[in-house]
Amino acid sequence: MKFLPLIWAGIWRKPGRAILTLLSVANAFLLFGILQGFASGLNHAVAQTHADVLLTFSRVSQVEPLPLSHVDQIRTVPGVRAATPLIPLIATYRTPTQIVPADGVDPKQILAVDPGLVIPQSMINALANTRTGALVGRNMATRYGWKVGDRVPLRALQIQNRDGSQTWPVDIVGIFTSKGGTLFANAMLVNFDYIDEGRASGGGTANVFFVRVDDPNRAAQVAAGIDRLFANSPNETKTATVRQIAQDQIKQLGDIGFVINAIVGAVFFALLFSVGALMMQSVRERTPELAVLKTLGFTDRGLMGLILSESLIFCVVSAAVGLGLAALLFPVARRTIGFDVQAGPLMLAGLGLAVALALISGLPPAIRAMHLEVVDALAGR
Amino acid sequence: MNLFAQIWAVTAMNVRAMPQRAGASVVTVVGVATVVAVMVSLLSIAAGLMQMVDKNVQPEDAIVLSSGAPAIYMGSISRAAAAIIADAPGIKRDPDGKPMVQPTAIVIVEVTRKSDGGSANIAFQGSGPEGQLMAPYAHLIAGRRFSPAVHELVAGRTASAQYRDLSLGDHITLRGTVWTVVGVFADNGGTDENALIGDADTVMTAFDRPAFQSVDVRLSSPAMFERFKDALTSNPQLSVEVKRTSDYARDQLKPITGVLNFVGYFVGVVMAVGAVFGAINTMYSAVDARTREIATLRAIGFGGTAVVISVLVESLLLAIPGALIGVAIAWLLFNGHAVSALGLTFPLAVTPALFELAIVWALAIGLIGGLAPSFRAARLPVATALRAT
Repeated sequence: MKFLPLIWAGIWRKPGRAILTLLSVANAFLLFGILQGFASGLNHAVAQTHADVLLTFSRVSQVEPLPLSHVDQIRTVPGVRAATPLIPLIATYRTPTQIVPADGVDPKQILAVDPGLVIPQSMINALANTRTGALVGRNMATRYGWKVGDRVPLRALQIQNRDGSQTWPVDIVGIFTSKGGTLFANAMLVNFDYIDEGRASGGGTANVFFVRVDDPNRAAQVAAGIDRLFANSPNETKTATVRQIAQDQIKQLGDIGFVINAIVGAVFFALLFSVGALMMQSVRERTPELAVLKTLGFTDRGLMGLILSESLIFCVVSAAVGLGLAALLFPVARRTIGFDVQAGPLMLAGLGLAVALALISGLPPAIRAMHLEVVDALAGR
Repeated sequence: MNLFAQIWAVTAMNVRAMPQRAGASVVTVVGVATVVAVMVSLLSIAAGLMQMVDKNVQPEDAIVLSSGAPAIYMGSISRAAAAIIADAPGIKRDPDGKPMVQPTAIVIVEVTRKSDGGSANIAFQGSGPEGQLMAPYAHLIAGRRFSPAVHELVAGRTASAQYRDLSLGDHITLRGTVWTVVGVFADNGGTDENALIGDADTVMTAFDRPAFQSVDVRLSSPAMFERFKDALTSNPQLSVEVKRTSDYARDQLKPITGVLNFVGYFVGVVMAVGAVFGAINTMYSAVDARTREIATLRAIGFGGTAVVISVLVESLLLAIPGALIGVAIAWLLFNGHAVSALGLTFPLAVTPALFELAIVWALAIGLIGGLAPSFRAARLPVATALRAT
């Protein structure tokens, strides 16, 4: 510890150069933090999904409609607690950028289907009793200034109303506060029947069925049971847990882990050179000073330790700056895209990398310092 | 001595001294090469996707979709509507005088990946005999063409290689019906190589489709598009949308390529910032190492401008090899490397446009990195600098 001032002075020998290298190392760790944070947020989001909620789609594609009669058959499968059909009515409010994702659902089943949804029974009753009723989340209501009793003309992007227009008026009958963990946190809930019976074509079908099972450990068997019901029919189904579907969607994007590791690997390769060059240059310039230290009684190993510590402290400080900046972004990610980054493990991994970087790039200059011949070095040879 | 001669003299001196500072110079070269390699590799994903989609599209091709359909395979164009479309003005005629119109039925079917046994959805297109004329690059590489009225199909080359039961002679059950794979076709690396093709009427009957999903049309010239579009959209018997096939294909991919390119540029910008710091370092040390030489030149009458420009040139000379190495690495590792994502298999493409971008990026890094050091070099106080050791 008593050598700390010496090490510190060595790092700041050329302040301009040290700051520039510090910034490039910090920049690399910022990128590391953002990329790994993204991966960690993605994994966390998947882990947060429900293992006891199943989605039943058409086997063919997620937008192909299924007959409504499927829902009654699904409810007969052992292990199914509740099920509701769903029509996504993607609509806009006043301007085309004010997207309102409305979902037509069965109000009597929705609470039983989504364990994360917390809505008082009175609100559910209001929705069930008002054909054109709608429940909206607190955030959406605040954003558009809606309150209970408002009549909102939604403009559907795809589903045409029977009157030939794209307009679907709804009456707000409740504003709910979701605690997270629900699939409908940012959606408007409307009556399935209102949409289904009111649309110009495609009535009597649903795009997806939401199914809640009694026991999450038996979700796979229940899903297989549902699909067996409709096997070899013209409307075959594909049922999976919400978690499974999220995992598949991520897999569809390709191997994100590989891409991130490849980028981080390339960045560190470049960093090895820039930190290595900094250390090498600094040792070369200090040859006479190092020789004086040796003359004063510093051992070869002591000198090597001195140079390595310099590299270590420099890299860890720079990495901490970069990771700190990345950590400032994590709360932003949580607010905007709902990513909950596990910062702890990420920081540890980053600091581990910084240590590796310091040792590898510091070793050649450290060895050079160790092998200095005092006489030659002092003579400037 | 004029300015150019001065610049030339100083730059030549700098370049000759480069090997003495190999260590510092390598930092810039490696830094730029890494930025360029990573960014070009990331951008090659979207470039490859675009290239595949554009490959077989002719400028005079148009596609008719049923209006308001959320996806192409949910559209509905009746046989009567298809007949009306075939009579529209502007359509090219084949040597027999028939309009080049191809009503297509598209069914999405589930197949099994060979690699991990997982399921994937691919398109099964029903196409008529006109299909041959409309897809000039498509040709069978094995087997024969499907016959009408029997459950026969030909599989695209990529689909056949990637999924189970799609090799020549295989039988595959698709939504309850057994089909025989009678041929495998190539299509110049286009999107259709990921699909299956069968006879239109047979496919529609087998999958209980009352109508076509889209109509492909070849116009007599790209300029006929507006006329053709107006004729169809103003026809009260039809409820269709008309798009140029090239626009349609690009629109379909825009959300994906948008995200991919955003990631590529984002990582490219962040890494470039790091590389700029490295370049500044390199150039400062280059200037420091030559303090005496620069002061001498100033003393014998060389202008400040010549010194500034020569330092910038040196910085650019270090950045350009970096860009070349970076592009070469990306090209060697990834160009033509097939990836599977979003149900499509396509080769990554390191295109000339990406090469240009790499050069621009490297020049920008070199220029910004060289700026501050070059001014320091020009402002050196001559008298003190001459005494430097």
